Amino acid sequence: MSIEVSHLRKTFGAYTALDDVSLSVKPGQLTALLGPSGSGKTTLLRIIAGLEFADAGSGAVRLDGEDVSALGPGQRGIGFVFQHYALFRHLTVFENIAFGLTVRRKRERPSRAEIAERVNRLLGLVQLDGLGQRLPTQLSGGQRQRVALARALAIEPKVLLLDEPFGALDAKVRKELRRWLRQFHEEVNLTTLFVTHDQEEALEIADEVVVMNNARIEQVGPPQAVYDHPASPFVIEFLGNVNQLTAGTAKPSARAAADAAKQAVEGKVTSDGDLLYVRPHDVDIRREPKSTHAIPVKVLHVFAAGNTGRVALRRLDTGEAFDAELSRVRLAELGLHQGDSAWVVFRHVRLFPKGQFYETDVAED
Amino acid sequence: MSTAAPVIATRRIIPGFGLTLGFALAYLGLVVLLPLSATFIRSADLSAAEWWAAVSSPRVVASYRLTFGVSLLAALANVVFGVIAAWVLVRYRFPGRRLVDALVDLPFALPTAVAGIALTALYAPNGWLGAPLAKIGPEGIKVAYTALGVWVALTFIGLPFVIRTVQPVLEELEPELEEAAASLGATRLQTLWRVVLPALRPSILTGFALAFARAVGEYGSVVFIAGNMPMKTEITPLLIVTKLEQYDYAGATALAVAMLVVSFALLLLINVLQLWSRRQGQ
Repeated sequence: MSIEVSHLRKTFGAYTALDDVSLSVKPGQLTALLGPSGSGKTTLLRIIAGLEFADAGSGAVRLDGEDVSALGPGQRGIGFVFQHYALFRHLTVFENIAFGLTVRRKRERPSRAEIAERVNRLLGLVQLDGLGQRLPTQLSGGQRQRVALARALAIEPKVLLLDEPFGALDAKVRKELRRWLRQFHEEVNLTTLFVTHDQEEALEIADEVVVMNNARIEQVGPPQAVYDHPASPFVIEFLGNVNQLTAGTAKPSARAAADAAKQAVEGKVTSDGDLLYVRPHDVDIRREPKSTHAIPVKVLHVFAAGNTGRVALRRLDTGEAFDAELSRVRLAELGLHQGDSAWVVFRHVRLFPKGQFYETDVAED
Repeated sequence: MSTAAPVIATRRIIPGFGLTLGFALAYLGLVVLLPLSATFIRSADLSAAEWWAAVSSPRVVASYRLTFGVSLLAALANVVFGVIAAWVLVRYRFPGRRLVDALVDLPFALPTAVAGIALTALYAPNGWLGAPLAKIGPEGIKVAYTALGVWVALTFIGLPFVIRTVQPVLEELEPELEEAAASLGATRLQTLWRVVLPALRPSILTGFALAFARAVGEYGSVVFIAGNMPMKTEITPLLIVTKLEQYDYAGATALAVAMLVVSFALLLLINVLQLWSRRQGQ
């Protein structure tokens, strides 16, 4: 079942949460709505769910081609999972999962035996066999979120919507659960849309990533495409670590780097104040200036703890500081120490003419 | 070398347990238990047979029935009204909300005698409300000088309790719970009945217990509107005052003890209910 959203606008007083947003989610895909807090991603999800309504006369939400804009959340055939689980504390896990079935009108309600059978099957699906009689407070955070998922699935929704589903969990559980969600998605193949502010999470498990900023969609595409070909400075800064350097204040070697950037961004002429982006893993450190593009640098600090090595550097031509990331093996080969002189070559750079895309700060919550 | 004694006292992170518990118990003893035990001791002036005769005469038993029965009904009425009022005050923003919120506490601040006089004037057969009510039906509805009047007074003075206990809990209730219920297809009524009310249950019980306890002990506002007809509209606190006025201190304290015991038993029962309800809710 596809999700289609066209020209949505949502304002809260003077604040604009969504500004003419259109989006199309293909059936059966796991799609991430990614953005900093306040970017409008949760509002968009809630409007799709029917928990919030777009400004009057501003577009529509279609599920499988059918306009559901006027329907309440219960009539849309969606399953919604909240960040803080929103489990009913006075009900057992079993009763929580069965809730959506037991509130149905008598004619549509499955029999007791059918409900029990379905709940038990769901308990198995979310790997909580035998915990049906527990109360939510007797479960861990990860378990609670899986109960919430099972509860949403019990009504056999056509679309699954998750609002920061791992946001309240600690780092380790978070990682486990998101891999599990990916696997789970392969099994049930339900059109799923989840909101996250964690780019790592989005890039790791989503089929498609929708990057939002300032009430608008910045870019839509598969994880690798948005990571490798970011459409704006915001996207490149939000997805992964990146060094931002000025392209224009160039001495010869920096000029050479900017020339390389020109190839990446066709038709854009380098000038003073343009923004040049280099991923730390695209910085190649050398002991000798073997390339004409090589830039002289000074080593400020070497961080060797962790699974990759990180080196803080300062360009000798412009004086800008930036980071490089390289394998521990390569770091050992280079034998770098604080205060050493070296050369770097940027393997891949992106250049954005100043002011054209870049308008906001990136804020994490 | 002395043998190491096993460490029994565990170190507490928050200090002052002994001090604060001691203070709390001393205070409770001085303010609550001492006067109460004086009541018990005083009533022991009577022999067992005299005591029993004092607390079980038909007129006294009728007053128990009225006091406890009407207090129960008044507390129940306050539960219904209190939950609705708390809901309105928490969930909606309307002009004058703060004023209404402040009005809720008025029955606390008003001297109960003032309330009693006001209610009596209002509900008396020639009062603003009493006169039109008297015209309803063949018999007319009489409020003042009947058990119904006692109920009106007890409802009035117990009004703030349920509102004030339910209000903060309702404020803390995550809106996501209701949204989750709605997304699962529950109607508004189902959400209210199966999600919101169970979450409020412990606080409703607390408010009920407070309103009930207050109603049982109420004197000032009731004596004016009740009319105090023996066997019909006499509340137990009134009988106690009557006995005191006749210098029958032992008889008065005997009644007081009987009331205390029953009240304590009922409050204990409500507490047990609350505990059970809280277990359910966690």
